[in-house]
Amino acid sequence: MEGRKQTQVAENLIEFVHLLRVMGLRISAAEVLDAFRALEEVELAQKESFRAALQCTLIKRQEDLGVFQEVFRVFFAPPEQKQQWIEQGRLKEQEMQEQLAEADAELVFQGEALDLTTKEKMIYAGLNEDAKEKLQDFLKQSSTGKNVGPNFKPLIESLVRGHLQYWQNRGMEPEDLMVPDTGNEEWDFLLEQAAESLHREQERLLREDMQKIGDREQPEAMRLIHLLSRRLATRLSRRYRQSQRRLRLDLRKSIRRNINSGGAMFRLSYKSKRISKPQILLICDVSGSMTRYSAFTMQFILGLVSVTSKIETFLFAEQLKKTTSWFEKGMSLEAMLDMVSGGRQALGHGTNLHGALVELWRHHRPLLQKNAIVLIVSDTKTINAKEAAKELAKLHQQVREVVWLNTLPAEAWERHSTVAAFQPYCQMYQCNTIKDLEAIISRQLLSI
Amino acid sequence: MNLSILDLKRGFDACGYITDEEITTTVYLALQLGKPLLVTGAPGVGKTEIAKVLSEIFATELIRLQCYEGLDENKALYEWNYQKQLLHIQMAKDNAQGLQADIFSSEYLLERPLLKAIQAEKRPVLLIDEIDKTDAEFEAFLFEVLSDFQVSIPELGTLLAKQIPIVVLTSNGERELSDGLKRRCLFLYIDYPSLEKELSIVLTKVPQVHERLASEVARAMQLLRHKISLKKKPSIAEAIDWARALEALGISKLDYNAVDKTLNVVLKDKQDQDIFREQMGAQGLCNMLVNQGG
Repeated sequence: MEGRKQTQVAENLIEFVHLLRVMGLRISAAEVLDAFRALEEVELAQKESFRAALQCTLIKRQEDLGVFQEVFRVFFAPPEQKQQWIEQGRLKEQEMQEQLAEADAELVFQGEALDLTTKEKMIYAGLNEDAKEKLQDFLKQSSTGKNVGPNFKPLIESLVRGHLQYWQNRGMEPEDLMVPDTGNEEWDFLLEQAAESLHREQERLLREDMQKIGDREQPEAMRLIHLLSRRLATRLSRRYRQSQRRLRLDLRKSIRRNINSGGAMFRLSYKSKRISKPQILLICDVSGSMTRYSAFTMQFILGLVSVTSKIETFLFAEQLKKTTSWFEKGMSLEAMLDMVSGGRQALGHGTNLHGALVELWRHHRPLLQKNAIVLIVSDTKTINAKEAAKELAKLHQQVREVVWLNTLPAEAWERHSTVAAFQPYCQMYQCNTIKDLEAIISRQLLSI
Repeated sequence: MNLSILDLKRGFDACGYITDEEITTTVYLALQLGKPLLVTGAPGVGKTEIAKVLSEIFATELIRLQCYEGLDENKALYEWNYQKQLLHIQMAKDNAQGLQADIFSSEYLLERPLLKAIQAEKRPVLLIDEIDKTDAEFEAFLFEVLSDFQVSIPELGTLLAKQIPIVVLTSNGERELSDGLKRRCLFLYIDYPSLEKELSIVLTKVPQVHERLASEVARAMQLLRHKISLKKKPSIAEAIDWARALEALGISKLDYNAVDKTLNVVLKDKQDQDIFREQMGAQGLCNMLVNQGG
């Protein structure tokens, strides 16, 4: 490539990579250099070759292909098309600002705008007129109530937040894929354009809150989870295998083995180091608030158990039940889910982690070994949280690691005192999307 | 070995491997940049075949390292022929002149695939198949070899590659590979083929099959992949097997009986067969084919 053209290509490439990184892809400098070298080898005017050259050098995971293709589409679109998207983005932004201003004007308490986040205001803007009116009525009535002073504002704000959360959870306002800020307005608009089209089922499913995954999409989500759990399980069952080279010679066995060749050691035997694999205890919350997640968790356990059997499983709600045998017997997922919903009658709809942990200590003490890893899947909502935290601290001291997969989104953690109560005694990770699950498995669980 | 993208495409065609622009460009770049090619995708989409075709195109040796759980350096790189060394020592004991030759010489070295690829006179194709089945430790060792293409044998010194081999790694994605290994490779993901591509693959691989039957097979495969939620979706390999099986049975049209008789060629899992019968059924599949205008 000639000098000027080369500089231009390099500049474009760096900007493109920057956008990919903003969208969450991990691309190293070495890969950028590879991409640049690859571009020297292909005809730049041929879009397909050009795309393939960038794709094979910058992307190394199948899951990232969708994001790459969308960002490529918007980044290398004709300038007129880009301009059109930017215009659309500007209009949308303007509209959003108007909606925010409207929300500020309508959500007032005693003449003062409520202190809500942009996201909360946007949830409000997306509500239907009826729901908006109800909320406004509530604010009007609270503002004029007897003995209601300005110090009530935080309380009212918290109630309104809860209300908006309710509407969002009801699925009236589906959450968009979040596009982080690039610091450049035009790029932001283009990335939003890319994110809007990023609806390839798998990517969407990976980032979707598992609770919101529809029935039609469930089999695909289940398949993904199954694949993830198998990845974890195969790793767990392999990680301590050592190569022969590092083993010690077993002289006694070698001599016995070679008696028929007069003691000349033709065939050697090695002492293998006895290493115990970690015992995994999976404790899964199946209470009412966790209904949807339990199906996915079950699928996750099924995948794990199909490869490694060193997993003890428990379900709990108000009581604890050991369910290892369900998985050993090879019960189908459907039958298991039926058992869970049937069992919910027995285990109860509420959540009592304290009771469950006490029961675990009382009846399953031998399983709580020093090398055990305890995985808890729950949204932390429980009665007796203080007592439960004490039990968790005890457990934390006893076993190798307690890992909590929290199905509440991280931004909601500070609103739940239970999260703060349990966090000191475990490694807690947000786990409400398949993507979260994957990240925890590949970066956290496998490094334990 | 300098080929243009077009030459490479012709080479693939001549070997009966139907490619698209993405595959050809990626393979071409791997050859030009001298980088290993990491191919992923569902089982049966033609990952391993790429290495075989490359060895045919370049008329060179294909050296295959089949990965499995517990594979270590001894099995992949080299091993001393301990038994031979021992025999030599035993013989030397009875010989008055004692040990005549160095027992740590290449005569006593058992070359395993990686060393064989490095020592080859003509640039070979090294296929490291199902890399996701090995341990992370072996993977780390492998990417050292793949970055330097040299091997240190304490008794012999460092052996440099005579030719940098064409390296193709395949993975079924059962385990996430390390960032280090991925960084050193060019990445190619092979998806299930489009209808047109699948049809031309079937016609190329099973030339004796009638075009109409091949078209029905290709369309049925698309339906099976997209209309029902199977645990393991049938791949290109299954489409080829299916066409061959139908041909061998003398079946010229995909009807209820044909599908029912040959279902286990396409769906190799009992649970998937149950799902098929429950959600679509042989008759349902045939009806869909008819509705599509077959």
